[in-house]
Amino acid sequence: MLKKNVLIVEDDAIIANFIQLKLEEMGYHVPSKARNAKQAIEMAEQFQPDLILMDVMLEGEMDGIQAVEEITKTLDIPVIYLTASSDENTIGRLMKTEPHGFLIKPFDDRILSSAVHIAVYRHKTKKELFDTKEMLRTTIESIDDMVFSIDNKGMFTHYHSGNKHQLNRFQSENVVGKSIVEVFPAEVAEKIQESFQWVKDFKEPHSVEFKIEEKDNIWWFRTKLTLRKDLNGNVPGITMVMSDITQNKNMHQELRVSQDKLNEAQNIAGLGSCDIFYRENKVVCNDMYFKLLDIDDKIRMNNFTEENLLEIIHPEDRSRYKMLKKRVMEEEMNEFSINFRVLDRKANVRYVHMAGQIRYDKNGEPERMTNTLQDVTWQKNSEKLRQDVELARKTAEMKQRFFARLSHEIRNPVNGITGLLQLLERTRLDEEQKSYTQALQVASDTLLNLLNDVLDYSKIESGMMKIKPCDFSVRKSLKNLQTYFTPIALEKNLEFRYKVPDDIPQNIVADESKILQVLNNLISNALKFTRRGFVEVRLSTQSRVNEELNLLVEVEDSGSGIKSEDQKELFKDFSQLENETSIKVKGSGLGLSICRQLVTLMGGEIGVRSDESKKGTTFWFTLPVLIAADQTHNDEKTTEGKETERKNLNCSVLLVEDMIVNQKVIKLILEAMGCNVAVASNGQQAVEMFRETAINAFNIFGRIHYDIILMDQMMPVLDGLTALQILKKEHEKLPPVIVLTADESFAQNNKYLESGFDDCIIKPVKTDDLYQKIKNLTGQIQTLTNEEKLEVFSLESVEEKPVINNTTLDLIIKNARQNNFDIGLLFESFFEDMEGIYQQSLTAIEMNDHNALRLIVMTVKGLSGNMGASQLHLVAKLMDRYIRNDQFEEATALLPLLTEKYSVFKSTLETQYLKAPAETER
Amino acid sequence: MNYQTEQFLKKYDAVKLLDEETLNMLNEYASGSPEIVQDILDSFEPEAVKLMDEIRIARENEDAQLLKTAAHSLAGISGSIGATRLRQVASDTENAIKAENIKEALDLSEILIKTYDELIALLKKM
Repeated sequence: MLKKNVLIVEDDAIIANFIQLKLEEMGYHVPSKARNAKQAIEMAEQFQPDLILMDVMLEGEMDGIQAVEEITKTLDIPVIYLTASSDENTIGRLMKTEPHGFLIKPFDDRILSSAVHIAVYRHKTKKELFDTKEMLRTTIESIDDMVFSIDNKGMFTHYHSGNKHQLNRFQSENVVGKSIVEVFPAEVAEKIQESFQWVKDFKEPHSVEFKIEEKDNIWWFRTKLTLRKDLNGNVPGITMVMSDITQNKNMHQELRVSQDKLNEAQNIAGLGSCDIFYRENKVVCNDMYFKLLDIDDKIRMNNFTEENLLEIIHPEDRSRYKMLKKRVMEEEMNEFSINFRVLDRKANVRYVHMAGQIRYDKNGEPERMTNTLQDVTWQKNSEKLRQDVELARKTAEMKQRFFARLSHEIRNPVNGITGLLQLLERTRLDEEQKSYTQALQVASDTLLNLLNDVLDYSKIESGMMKIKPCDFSVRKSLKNLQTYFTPIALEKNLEFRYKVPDDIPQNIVADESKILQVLNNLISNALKFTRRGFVEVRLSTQSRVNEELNLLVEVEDSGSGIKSEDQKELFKDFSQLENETSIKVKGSGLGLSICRQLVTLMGGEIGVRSDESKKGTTFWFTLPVLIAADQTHNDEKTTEGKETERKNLNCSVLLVEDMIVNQKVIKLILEAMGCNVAVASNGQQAVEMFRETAINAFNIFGRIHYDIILMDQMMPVLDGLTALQILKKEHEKLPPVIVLTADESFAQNNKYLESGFDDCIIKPVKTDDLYQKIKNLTGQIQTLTNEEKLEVFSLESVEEKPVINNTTLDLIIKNARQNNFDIGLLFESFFEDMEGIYQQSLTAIEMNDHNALRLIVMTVKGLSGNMGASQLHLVAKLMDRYIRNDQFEEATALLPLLTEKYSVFKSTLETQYLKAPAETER
Repeated sequence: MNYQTEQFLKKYDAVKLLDEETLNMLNEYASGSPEIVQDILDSFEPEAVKLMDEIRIARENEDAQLLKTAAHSLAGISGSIGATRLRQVASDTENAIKAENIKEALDLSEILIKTYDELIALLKKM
């Protein structure tokens, strides 16, 4: 330990020596003695003593006090005055220099000693205090945080801020002297006060975080409160250090958001991921991982182990998994993948694909493994779906072939019999033989009829009977019937007549042969059971909407009538009535039943009216039919050229042709066919006109204005081909385009098809050609409803649609909320409706039941449209279109896709919309 | 007149200058408004004139491309009104150029001019 230095300034040598001796005894060191002020100053500077003993009276001009004044200007050295006088003046003067004390001569060595010790000690502590303060100051000034001193009453006594904070409330003038509640907003002040209390109560530091919203911004702070004690152990106050952690918080928030996004992406992709940190023995899995394994109990989730995983893996796949893991570890493989089955809690099997990556340390020990799980059940299932549909279709095919073969096998021999009988009759036969052949004829006819009935019945029952509508003339058919039945009627002296009122159209679209079959049956029956009078066939219109006509066909006879209790039995299978004269009815008893089935298949109803008192019976049936577009007479001789006026093709045509004469001529022809024509003089105009109508029309029906485009190949400005390409690029839905060309080679070998046109007409334009082509290309469209009139869509456009139409769904949700309706229930009922669809569809395919499948598809179409399941909706629409156009196979081929899109919709819906409300409101 | 041209003329003689069937059909379509067909015929001449001018210029400059396009358009509008002969000649002219038979094309275009004049004369009488 260094000796403390003391400088003696005393002009009296004896006193000076004395003091020196004493000091040295005390353990101090005297480097020098000064006799006057000048020396004192010099020596003080030179030696920088720890203490100066200064005599007030000195030689020379300056006295001790002045010397001290001078010295303490630059040096911080404690001073003890030695003075002989104790007058107030002197004392007053020397006190001004803030000495550590003064000694009045004479003084003895004890006094000297204690004064020096105290002075040195005081100085030391003063230095220490200064150093501490300095350290504190520099520390505080170097941190950016805000430091508050709070007294016991919660007032801020001191405040320091390294960086001036943006918020006004944290400017010095607004802090010092104010209370906590004055500086901080209410809720924050409360938190701070609680923290304050904590610190006081538990005598330990306490941290708290809070946010302040101001100026449209949110600021986050973290503060730590610490107790300040005084020497007595009392708590004069608390120090609060506050950091602005807004940025940090934002980063955390951003991190959380991106983690959430990752989670969500993984959810949507159905990807579960799991990280294993071997050294730390930590396992971290995302939500999807557990979802795939059907785990939701927190215990297992927080302590997930490989054992847990193994329990869920299908027993048959466990050893395979274990073997793979073993091999991976032994060979230090960095990647692996494996497919296995897992059993969920309901013991349902799901297929998963696991892919893993492992990192090893220097010793070959695994450090970290990440593995992902993905549910591949649907991939497996869609294979199965396709197989199911294939099977159903094959079944339907087999049934069809069976029936065809059966019919053939049965009818052949019977026809053989009939034929041979006819041959036999033409040979020379005696009376006896003739009577036998005639009887045989009757028997074989009956047999054939019975067989036909049975075949028809079976065919209908197994769904093999197809309705084939076509254009035909009602009047002609009835005339034929009359021709056939009149002789039979005449034989019984009955009149056969038919009535067709004028309002019945010339040609209708329906299954002619089946209608005739029914009529045949009814008329035959009528003739059979009527002994006197007539049989009349009447047609009438029950109702009519545009091209749809509900036809009513009545077959009335003047027979004896049918009792009402018998009427009920009529259309049932195998029912036969015995009339009063006990004439045994020939027939299988299936006739009316088959009529009923056929009429029902065609979408109509059948029934009977009979009033016993008035006698007579009327069998009736209704049929929905279409009025044929082509109402021309189909005469025997086909006339060339002159056809009667073609009624409405009823379409909108965009004619693109540069020569005015051609424009006028073609327009005239088209208008005569019932078209509306818009004309563009070249490709450029056509593109522009198309753009305009597309914009206008979309808002109404989303359909395009023109049903068909007729485009000349050669035109100035923009030719046909280029214009077509531009149109195809700009518009997703384009009507059919027919190209007009004088170039025969373009028309041949489908060159026009390769160029993208739908059809081709060679100039000069011939009416028939034009008519046929337009009819063909727009023909399908006529069977579509107005809304769907020109939506050209395909499988590719399915993928382009979103899985969920959020606008629709948000509307539904909003609606539900407004009406206090539980969204969950709504979704549930949708899922319930959809669940049975797949099985029902398969059944419909097996039964070749187009109508049933159509109904199912329309249901799906409607439901999915309402729920905003865009992809699903589009697939259903595609299927519907195919079915309507009798493309049953193409429709059934879409069934797996339909099912897949449903499940995608379902899982996306569950992920996105059925989260707990708290999570969605962030 | 060379042999080929003679043959051509023979061929075209067999083709009607103006086919009434076409016009009759158009009249039918116009059902009750004869002015429609008249309007069509009236529009024929100005367009045809323009095309004939182009053809003359093309012949002078031996511009095969111009001759081809003009002949093509002329064939088009002729066909529309049933001027079958003019249509045939114009079409043959176009094909000759496509086959790079410039000489033949030029010969045909002469016949074209003649046929055109005859047609116009006929139309004026109607």
